Amino acid sequence: MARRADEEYDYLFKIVLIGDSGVGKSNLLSRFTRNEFCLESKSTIGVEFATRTLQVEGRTVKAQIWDTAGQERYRAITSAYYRGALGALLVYDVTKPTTFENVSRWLKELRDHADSNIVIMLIGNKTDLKHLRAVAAEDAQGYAEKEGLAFVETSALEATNVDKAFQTILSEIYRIISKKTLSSGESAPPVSVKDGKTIVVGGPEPSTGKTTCCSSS
Amino acid sequence: MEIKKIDEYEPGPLPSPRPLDRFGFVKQEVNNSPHGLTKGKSAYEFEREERRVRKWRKMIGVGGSEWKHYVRRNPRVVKRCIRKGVPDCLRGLVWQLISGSRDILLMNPGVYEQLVIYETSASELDIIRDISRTFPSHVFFQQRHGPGQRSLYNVLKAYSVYDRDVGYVQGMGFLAGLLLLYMSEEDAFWLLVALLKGAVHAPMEGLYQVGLPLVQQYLFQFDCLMKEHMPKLGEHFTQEMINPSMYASQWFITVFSYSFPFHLALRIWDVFLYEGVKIVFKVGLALLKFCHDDLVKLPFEKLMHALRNFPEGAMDPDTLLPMANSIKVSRRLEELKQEYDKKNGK
Repeated sequence: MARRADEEYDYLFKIVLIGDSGVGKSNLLSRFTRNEFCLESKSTIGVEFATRTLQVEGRTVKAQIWDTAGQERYRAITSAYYRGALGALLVYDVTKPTTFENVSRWLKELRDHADSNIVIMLIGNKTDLKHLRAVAAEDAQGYAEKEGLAFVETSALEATNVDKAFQTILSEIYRIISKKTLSSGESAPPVSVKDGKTIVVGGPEPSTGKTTCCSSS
Repeated sequence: MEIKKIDEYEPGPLPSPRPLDRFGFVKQEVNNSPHGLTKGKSAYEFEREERRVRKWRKMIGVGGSEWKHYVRRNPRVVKRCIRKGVPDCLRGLVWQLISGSRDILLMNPGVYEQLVIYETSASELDIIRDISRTFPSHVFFQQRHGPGQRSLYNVLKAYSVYDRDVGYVQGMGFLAGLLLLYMSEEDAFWLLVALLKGAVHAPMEGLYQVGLPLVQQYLFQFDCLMKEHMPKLGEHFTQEMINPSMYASQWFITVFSYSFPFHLALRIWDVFLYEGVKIVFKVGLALLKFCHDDLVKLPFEKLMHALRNFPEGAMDPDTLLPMANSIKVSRRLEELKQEYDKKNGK
């Protein structure tokens, strides 16, 4: 079987989507990987998974993204997915201050379970709900700088800054990876989620399925 | 407070009418065939269905009066009938009888009302946040603050007060939602109690307690079972680093009510309520078995996709359930539980 161009990649980066329940993680993922938004979406139970291949700094990078259930009790299952992740998108809802206040708890969670050099990006989602905004961008920006996180505000509904968010974190990961390989003087190995085991890439991506964003039940 | 209690709101506008399937879910695809939307059952099927309902009515008796007696005398007949599917018009009543929830209800008059009206729960905001995200494509739950959403809220809030250790955990809404399509709020609440507290079978509350201990145990058991029943696929999954938490957590946490076709979920629930959680293992194994020859060839990412999008053929209850029931798991499940407990120092 001939491989399509978009199935080949130079790097495979594993990223986790975390943050309180209901902040829009699953819709950020579907917007980024399938350009879909679902108003009638169900709460995520356990973990979901999707990929997208794109160009980063002239290289083909496959982003392998794990979307996790946000409710605290689910961390018993979801924290296992932090391991091996090169990046984390930590999402809060700009209309719900508590989801922003909980960001520090999520950071602790990452420090406890993720690799120490994981790239973390803070995302304030739902900017389309302008009249309901309750977290100022400046406050979040200030917090992100203090904690050394990248920061962007997004709207998964209006598709604002979603690609930019992923592009930014993937570029940042790429910079770190290429610096590392430069300093160690080795040729760049493909980075894999599976602890050094390269995933064999076969046929078309999940988007070829007939699934729509809302299933029938 | 960010969100007010749900009953302080006026109901939202009724959702605009869209074509629904026979269970009340919004149809996904517009069927172009001229018989698509109106296709009924054949006369033969109608007659067969009527005969079945008559037989069931006899087994149950008026309001369930004959049921216990009948089950005691004909346990095998009952098991066989349930595996064939409970008639939809009797489902609500039969579920309450086989789950033991009817008895609990009768022993606790007025308790549900008390929980709904007088108690407050720490989980109220969590519950409200998920109300519109539970069966969002079902007509009963679509209207904002409408009767469906209110009932769902009441049942979940009542449970979170009744069992404060569990409180509310995402996933419970799908159980409650499914039950509410077949019975009243109060009946749905007591059925939830019967399941989680273990009226007839082992209690399920561990699925939702802190640390999700029962989810972890079930996933361990399922992993072992699938490797024993399908060694080749087991080896392939190990190689591709696929583990059951990636695809089967939802199966256990919501008993297949989260993402499976509704007609299939109902048939699984018929058996689940009568025979217990082993049917979830059996159906899970049957799904893998059905797709075995495809799955063994797929790499990681395609596996992740295939394990969430089973082919239509596998979604036919009359194919999948006989396959599931041909797999024997009871004894091995017990052994694996002991193994798991030992491993975890219990």
